[in-house]
Amino acid sequence: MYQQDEWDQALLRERVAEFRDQTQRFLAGQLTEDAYRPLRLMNGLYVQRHAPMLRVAIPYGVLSSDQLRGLAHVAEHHDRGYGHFTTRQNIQFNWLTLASVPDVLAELAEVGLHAIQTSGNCIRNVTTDPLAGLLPGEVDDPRPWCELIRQWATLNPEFTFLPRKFKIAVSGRLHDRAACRIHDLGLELRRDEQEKPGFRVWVGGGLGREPHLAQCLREFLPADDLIDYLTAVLRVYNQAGRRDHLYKSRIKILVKSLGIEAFSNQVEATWQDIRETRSISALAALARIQARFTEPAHDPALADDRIEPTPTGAFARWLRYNTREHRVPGYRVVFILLKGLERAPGDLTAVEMRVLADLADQHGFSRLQTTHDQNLLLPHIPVRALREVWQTLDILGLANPGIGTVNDVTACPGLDYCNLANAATLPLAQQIQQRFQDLDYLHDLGEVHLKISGCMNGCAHHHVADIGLLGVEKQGGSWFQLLLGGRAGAESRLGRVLGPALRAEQVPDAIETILALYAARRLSGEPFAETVQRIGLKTFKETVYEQHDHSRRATHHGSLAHSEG
Amino acid sequence: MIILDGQLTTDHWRTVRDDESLPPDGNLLFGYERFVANALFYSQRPGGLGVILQPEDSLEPILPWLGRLNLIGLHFPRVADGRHYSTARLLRTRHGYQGELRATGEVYRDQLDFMRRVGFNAFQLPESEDPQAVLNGVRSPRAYPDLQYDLLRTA
Repeated sequence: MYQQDEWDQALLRERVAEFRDQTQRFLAGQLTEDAYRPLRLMNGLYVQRHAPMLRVAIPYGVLSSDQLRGLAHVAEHHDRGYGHFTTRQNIQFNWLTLASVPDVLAELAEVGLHAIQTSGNCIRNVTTDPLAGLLPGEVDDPRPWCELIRQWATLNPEFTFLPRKFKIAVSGRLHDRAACRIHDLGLELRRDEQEKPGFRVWVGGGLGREPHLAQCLREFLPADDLIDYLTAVLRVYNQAGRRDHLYKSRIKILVKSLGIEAFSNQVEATWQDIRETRSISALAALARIQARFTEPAHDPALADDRIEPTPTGAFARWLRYNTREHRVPGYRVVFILLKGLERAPGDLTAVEMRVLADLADQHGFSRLQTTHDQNLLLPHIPVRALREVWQTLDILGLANPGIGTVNDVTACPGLDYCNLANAATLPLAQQIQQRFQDLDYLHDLGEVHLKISGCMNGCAHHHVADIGLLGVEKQGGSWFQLLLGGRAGAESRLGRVLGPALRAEQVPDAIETILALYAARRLSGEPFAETVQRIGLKTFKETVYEQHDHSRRATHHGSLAHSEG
Repeated sequence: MIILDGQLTTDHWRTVRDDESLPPDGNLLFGYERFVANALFYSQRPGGLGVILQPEDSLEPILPWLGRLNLIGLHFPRVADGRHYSTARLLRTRHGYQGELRATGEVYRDQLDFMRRVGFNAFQLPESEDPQAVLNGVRSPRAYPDLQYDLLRTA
């Protein structure tokens, strides 16, 4: 984990002082709402349905136990006792008062956290693979690169008033688990024939109103050129991106209108200029940052540890589904599912935060990690401590072994909190989880990612879900469009719309039909999106809408037996 | 009054409207199109020479005159229009412009440090901003100048 130095800490304190001054001027009537808006947005502060919402950055998802306690303190003293983890690895507080936000930021700065550039038309929090550096076989760790990009982007004076927001993801070398192709810019760590480090660069991806998968901008960028090259991309975008229309301002629209070749030519020419006038060595900067990264001191003596006695029952099931092999023998990666009937997806209470922080201190090198699907990881748990960790999680209700199943629902806050939403996402998430309580059935289905967005901005990333649900604008109640077969990662694909939108009440039935069809038609080991691809969207469509018409005629005749676990 | 190199000073420049006849002398600041159409002529008259660019104006036509220009004004029609941050940086680095670089339009205290870091050294604030209060106000936080080609570092 990156250890902040005095410069980093002074920056955060100065940022708090600046924002306190700006907020005081606004509250005193010296700053207009229009003038204050971009300033508060660049500090992650939205004005939402009930109260201001503050989005706190968790750079590339890495949290220390002290930072989690800092978040718990904010939740308890300034909010209603909980926080909400997002799909971009950040956390949001929904019930703050405007006047308290400078104090909240001051408290967060004490533990090295901030809300810089978590909103606004600037470079947002850099995200990466939540499992980076944890699994066997990973060669290069993307996190020091993320930190380098974070520093380059933080209050970068040239790129603070961009046409629109700009999101960067960095993935490790073997698998793209950072969803590079749905970001404005994606960087995939690679090595050339001489084993020199570099990146494959993707540009122009993004979900929301006009979803696009990113195109390849450069097959191989030498790592040392990263800062110059990023500057070139952003400079071209800053100067040429559209500013006349909110929905036409993302870089994906610029890349599409110029064509990838013309866009690439502009970037290359700008890059050449930067190299000739004033070049920055990214590798030299990286070395400085790497020196401040500490790795947990894993104990080699634990390598042969086994769990005694042999796990059975709920513990065994949890081990199988909610933990993964660690690159260091004797340790495992533990997933914590922040979903369930009693909580909105991604919510965690202050009390739970403290217990998890204590668990991380006792057994996990004081580390935690946020994921892209609103869950948490305890990244370094010794095998010998797993039973105790499981017992504690179980007491908190956080040991549900549903990671990766349909019940691991990703959902934005929806109509209950957000000004933009068309539909209520949280009640639907709950109804879906209620419907699928049979763990044997869920585990038999395997990994099926279900994501619910309340509007086409797509915060829950419904386009890259196996089953994506999109709240649409319609009279009377909440309506959802279904999308099937999307996936992020190396084989990225956007989900396709199944058919006309359904009422929220009809959605659990439709999902049940879809899953039953998948279970019946899949080949052995075939993932959901592949089955959709192979047997065709049409088959799913006909089955769902036929069933739906039938149930409308015959009234509701009960659910299929397997869901009544 | 304007802020120039961190000091509050009187503005010694006269803005020439597009429909106005050419004043006989003085430091004259022209709109982009008028300047580009008459650059050769204007460059030969005595007195200071300046031009104001809107965000969409191309730098190409003024590049031959950079050595003669004493003032380049970059106009911000809206706070959110950040194109001129890149223009300023290009003028200072790639094109080596040494004269006064002045921000005009929606230029508020909260943007000033960003502007300084990309090479602006002069600011014409709107009526609503008290320039003395701006000079005494809270400064923006430090950023990461070594990674951001910060021009204050070498200035």
